[in-house]
Amino acid sequence: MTDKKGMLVSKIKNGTVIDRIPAGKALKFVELMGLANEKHTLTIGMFVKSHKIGMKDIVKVHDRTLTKKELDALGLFAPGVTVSTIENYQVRSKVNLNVPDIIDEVLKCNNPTCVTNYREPIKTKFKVIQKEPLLVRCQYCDRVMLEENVLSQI
Amino acid sequence: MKHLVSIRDISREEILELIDLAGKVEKNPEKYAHALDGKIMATLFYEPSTRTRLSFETAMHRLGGRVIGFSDAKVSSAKKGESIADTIRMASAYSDVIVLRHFLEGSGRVAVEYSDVPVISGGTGIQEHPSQALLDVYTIYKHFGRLNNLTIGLLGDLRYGRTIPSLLYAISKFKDNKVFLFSPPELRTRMSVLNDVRDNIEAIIRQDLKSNIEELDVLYVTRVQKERFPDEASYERVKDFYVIDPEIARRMNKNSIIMHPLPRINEISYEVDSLPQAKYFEQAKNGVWMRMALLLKLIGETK
Ligand SMILES: [Zn+2]
Repeated sequence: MTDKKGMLVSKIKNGTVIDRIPAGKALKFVELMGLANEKHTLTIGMFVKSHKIGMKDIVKVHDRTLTKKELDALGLFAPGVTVSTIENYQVRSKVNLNVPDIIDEVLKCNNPTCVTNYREPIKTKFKVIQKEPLLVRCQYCDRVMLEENVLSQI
Repeated sequence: MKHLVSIRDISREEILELIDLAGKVEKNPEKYAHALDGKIMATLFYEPSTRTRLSFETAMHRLGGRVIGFSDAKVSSAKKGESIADTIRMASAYSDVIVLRHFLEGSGRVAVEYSDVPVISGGTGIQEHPSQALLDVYTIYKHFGRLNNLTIGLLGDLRYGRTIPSLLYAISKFKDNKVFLFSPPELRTRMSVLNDVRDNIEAIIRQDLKSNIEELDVLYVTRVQKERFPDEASYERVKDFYVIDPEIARRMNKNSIIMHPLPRINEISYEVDSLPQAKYFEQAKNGVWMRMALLLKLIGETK
């Protein structure tokens, strides 16, 4: 088992390893990040046995790192995921994703008369006011969105 | 304090400083008659609001400044699809301070991002109307000599009335205030606003005013608009609960006051105007003093 896990995580030369994705969600995650259209080599492991969390999914993206925006979206989608950046087979950095404090760009405000839904040169900005269950507040119009409104957008 | 787009952005001390300054201006307006000589205020009103605009313009003129702007988005560049950001960039190049009234929530924050000069919100969507709240607390302070330990009733449309959140935020900066929120269920204060103030205000939600009227120091009346209801019948069902007539006013404490942001339609009957509690016309007048104080604080030389 450890051999298999070791193989899944270490065989990438350059790129990103996203580990501890909730079991069964890897394909949804690939779609969310738009990775299915990018033609970077992907290695996807689903229902991988893990000593720590039972079962999990792993996605390895070759020759690609994640942007801050993508990390924020990922933190909302699956807090607890770990993201490792790999360079020349070495782990350059590893972060445990969490729900961010401020969410830039990722979300759309569900208030139809919020200025961010009009043609202005601005990006949405939400402050996380509660993590469990998630509550976020638009930093423009002050509208508070509930977890279901947020997750339905991701 | 660089801008005023939300009462949440300013402190209790800043509110008290503005009240103090408004008092000085009111007592001795001549002293400030040239305080803003040579300054220009741009009033960008994307929806009509004669009252707020005239109050700001009067304030600026009384300080010796000049006014440019538009009061109807139909004749302005907004009709051609210009963004708020671009309009603000243009206006901030021409003026020393901008007053923005806009129907979109969040428009004030966009303006702040793109302006090189102070921005004052003259009301943004249903979000807030901070200068109104400042003149309201100035009126309350003038009458009671304090902004704590008061029982305040807000009545009417507490959900869509843009003044309500600003006023609650202002009251929440002070201590030991109790607020009754009288409204039909459809027009209750928004949950997010209540959450913002719940640590500092004892808020009590009521549908009917009558059982608590004697307790109030301040009764703040807002208009219940027919357009807010899904049908005529549900409007007819509640509208009379929210009309203040002399009978209700006489049940109020002798030292209490009745306020209204104006314009009123029929929610306070004309017979109430002559009662000692009626404060709404003085309140409107206080608007000029408070807006003068605001302009002085934001762009005055001595601050
Ligand atoms: Zn918004």
